[in-house]
Amino acid sequence: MKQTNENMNKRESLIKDLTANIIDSAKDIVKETESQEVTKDIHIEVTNRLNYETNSLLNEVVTKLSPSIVDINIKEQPEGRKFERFGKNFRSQHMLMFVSVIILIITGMPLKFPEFGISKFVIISMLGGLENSTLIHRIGAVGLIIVGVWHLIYIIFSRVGRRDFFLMIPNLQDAKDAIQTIQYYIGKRAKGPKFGRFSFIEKFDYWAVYWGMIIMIGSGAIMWYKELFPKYAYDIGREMHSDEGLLATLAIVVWHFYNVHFNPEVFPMSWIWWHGQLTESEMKHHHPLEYDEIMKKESEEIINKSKSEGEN
Amino acid sequence: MVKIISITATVLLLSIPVLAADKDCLKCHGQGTDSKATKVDENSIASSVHKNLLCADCHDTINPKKNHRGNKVFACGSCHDSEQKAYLESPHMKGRTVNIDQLPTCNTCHGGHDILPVDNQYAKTNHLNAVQLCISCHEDETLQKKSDVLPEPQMIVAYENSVHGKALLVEGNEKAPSCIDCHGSHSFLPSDNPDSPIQKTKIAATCGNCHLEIMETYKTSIHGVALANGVMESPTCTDCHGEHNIKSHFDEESTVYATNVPKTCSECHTSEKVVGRFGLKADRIKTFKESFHGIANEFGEKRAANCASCHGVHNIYKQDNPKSLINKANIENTCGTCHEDLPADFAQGEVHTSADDPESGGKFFVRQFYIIFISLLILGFIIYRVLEYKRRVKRVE
Repeated sequence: MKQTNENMNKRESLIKDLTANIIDSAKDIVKETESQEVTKDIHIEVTNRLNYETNSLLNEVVTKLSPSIVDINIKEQPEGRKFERFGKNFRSQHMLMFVSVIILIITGMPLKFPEFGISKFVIISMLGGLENSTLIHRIGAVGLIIVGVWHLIYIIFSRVGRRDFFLMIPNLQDAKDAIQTIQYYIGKRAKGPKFGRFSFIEKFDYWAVYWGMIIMIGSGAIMWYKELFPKYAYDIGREMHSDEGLLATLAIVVWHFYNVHFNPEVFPMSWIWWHGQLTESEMKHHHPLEYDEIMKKESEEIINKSKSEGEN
Repeated sequence: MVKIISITATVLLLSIPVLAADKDCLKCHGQGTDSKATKVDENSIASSVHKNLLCADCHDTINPKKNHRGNKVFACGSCHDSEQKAYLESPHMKGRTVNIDQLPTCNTCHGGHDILPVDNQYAKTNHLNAVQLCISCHEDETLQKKSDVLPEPQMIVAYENSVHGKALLVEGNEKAPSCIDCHGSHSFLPSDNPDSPIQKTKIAATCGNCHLEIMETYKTSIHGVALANGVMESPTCTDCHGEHNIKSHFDEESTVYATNVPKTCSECHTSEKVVGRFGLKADRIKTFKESFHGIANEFGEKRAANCASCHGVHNIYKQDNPKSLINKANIENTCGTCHEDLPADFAQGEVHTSADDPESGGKFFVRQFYIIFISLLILGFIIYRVLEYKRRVKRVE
C-alpha cells in the first residue's frame, strides 16, 4: 500500500487541527491553566495519540477492504499501548491447570477407549503399563485440585481476583449479547454487541471449568477412596468421570483450542497465556466497553490532575 | 526223578527239529549265503525281545518247502490278541483298507526282527521316542492330503512346543505325556468314537490320569456336571487349555494366561449357541470389558481380575452353590484376595453392571445424560463456529 505524500500531508495537517481543537476544548473546561510547559506536553501526547489512532483505523479500513494484505499490515502496525489482561497469579493458575489437564487427558483418555491401538501405545509403550499411568494420573489430579483450591483463595483474598469474580457472574446483558451475536452472525444485525471485560463466551468458558472441576474432582475422589462408598456410588462415579472427561476433552479441543490456536486471528497460538497482554487494537476490538471505561477513567484522571495543578 | 528226566529228554528231543527248522531258514536268509532271498540280521534277532521265538512262530503261514517268494505275512495276533483287535479298529487299519498302504502296521512302529520291549530306551515305541515315531508320519503333508480325516500336520507338530512336549523332549521329564498317553495305543480311536480316550466325555478322565486332583474338582463344577449330564456344549479340559499346543498358564501364549482368559471364556459365553440355549446372561463379557478390571486386562495388566479370579478355575459353580466363589457368603473373601480394604457392602454390590442397561440404575442415567449433554454442546460449538466463519467470509468479501 503506497501512501502518497499528498495524503500524508493532508492527514498531518488534519491531526494538527484536531489537536488544537481538543486542547482548546479542554481549555474551556479548565479555564485557569495557562502554563506553556504543560500545554506543550499535552500537545505532543495528543498528537501522538491521534497519529496512532489514525494508523490503527487505517489498518482496520484496509483489513476490511482487502483481506490479502491483512497480515502485512498487522505486522507493520506501530507498537502501541499494551493492556495487562491477566496478572501473573492468574497466568500461573492457568499454566498449572493446563499442565495437569494435559497429563490427565493423556493418561485418562486411553482408559475410555482401551481397545484402540493408540491407547495401548500410550499406556503400554509410552508409559510402561497401567501401574505407571494410573500413578501419573493421580499426580495430574493433585495438580488440578491444587489449582481449584488456589483459585478459590485467589477469588476470595486477591483484590483483582475478587473484582474479576464479580465481573464473571452472568447477567441479563449476557443473554442479550448472546442473542445479538447470533443475530449478527446470521446477518440480522449490522454489528455484533460490544463486550466489557468478560464476554458471555468467556463467562461460559469460566463456569464450564467450574462445573468440570466439581464433577471430575468429586467423581475422581470417589474412585480414589472407593472403600468409603458402596459399589453403586463407585459405578456412578466412574461413569461420570469417564463421560465428563470425554466432554471436557472435546470442549478443550473443539472449543478452547479453536479460540486460542486455530482461530485465524491468533494461529498458531495466542501468547496471552504467557505475557497476559492485549494490544490496544485487540482491546478495542474484543473488549470495547472495558476499553472505553479505562479511557474514561484515565481522561478523568488527567483532567483531575490538571485541575489540581491549576488550583495549585 | 525218572519222570523229570524223561520230560526234559522229551522237550529236548522235540526241540531239535524245530531248531533245525530255523537253521533251514537261515540257509537261504542268513547273512553269509549267496541266495537271493531277503537277508535277515541274525544279531538283531538275538538282541530282540523275540529272541526265543522261531521264524515260523511269526511267519506262520509259510511252508518252507514251497516257494514263498514275496510272502511277508506274519501273525502278531496269535500271541498279542487284544492288541491286534485294537489295531483292527484303528484309523491306521481303516486307512489301509482304502489303499493308503503307507499307514502303519505292527512292525512299522514296533520294528521287525529287532523288536524291543516298550520299556527299552532304544525301542521306537519307548515313551521318550514315541513322539518322534508318530510325528515322522503325521508331519507329512502329502500323506495328509490322501486322507480326509487326518488333521493338519501343524496342529500335531504343535505338541513339540507345548508344555507337555517341552517337558518330555527338552527337559526329559518321563512323567510328561507323549502321544499315546492321551490317544491310547494300537486303537488310536478318533474323538468321535465313544470309546476313545479323547472323546469329549472321556477327556477329563484321560487328563486326570496325571492331573487327578484337578479332574476331581472339575467333575463337581458346573461345566463338569453339565457335560456328565450330556450337555456336549459344556467345556472339558481341552476347550479351555487347548490340545496339542497346550501351554502353561504362566506362558503368555496360553489360552488360560491371565490376560487371555476373558477371550477364552467369551468363545462360549458370547456365543448365541450357548448363551441363548442355556439361558445364560449374554452381557457378561461386555460388562467385564467395561469394568476397570476389564480395561486393565486389555492393557495387559495380569494382576487385574479376570473371569477366573472371581468365578474360579476348575471350581466354577453356580452362584447359589455354597462352594461358589461368587456366592453371597463368599464374595467378600473373593474380592478380598486382591482388595484387602474393601468393605462388605462394596462386595455385595452388583458386579456385572452396564451403562447401557436401565437396570444398573444411576450409571445408566449418568450415561444417558451425558449422551444428550455432549451431543448438544458439541453441536452448539460447531454451529456457532460455522456461523462465525460464514460471517467472517462475508465481512471480508
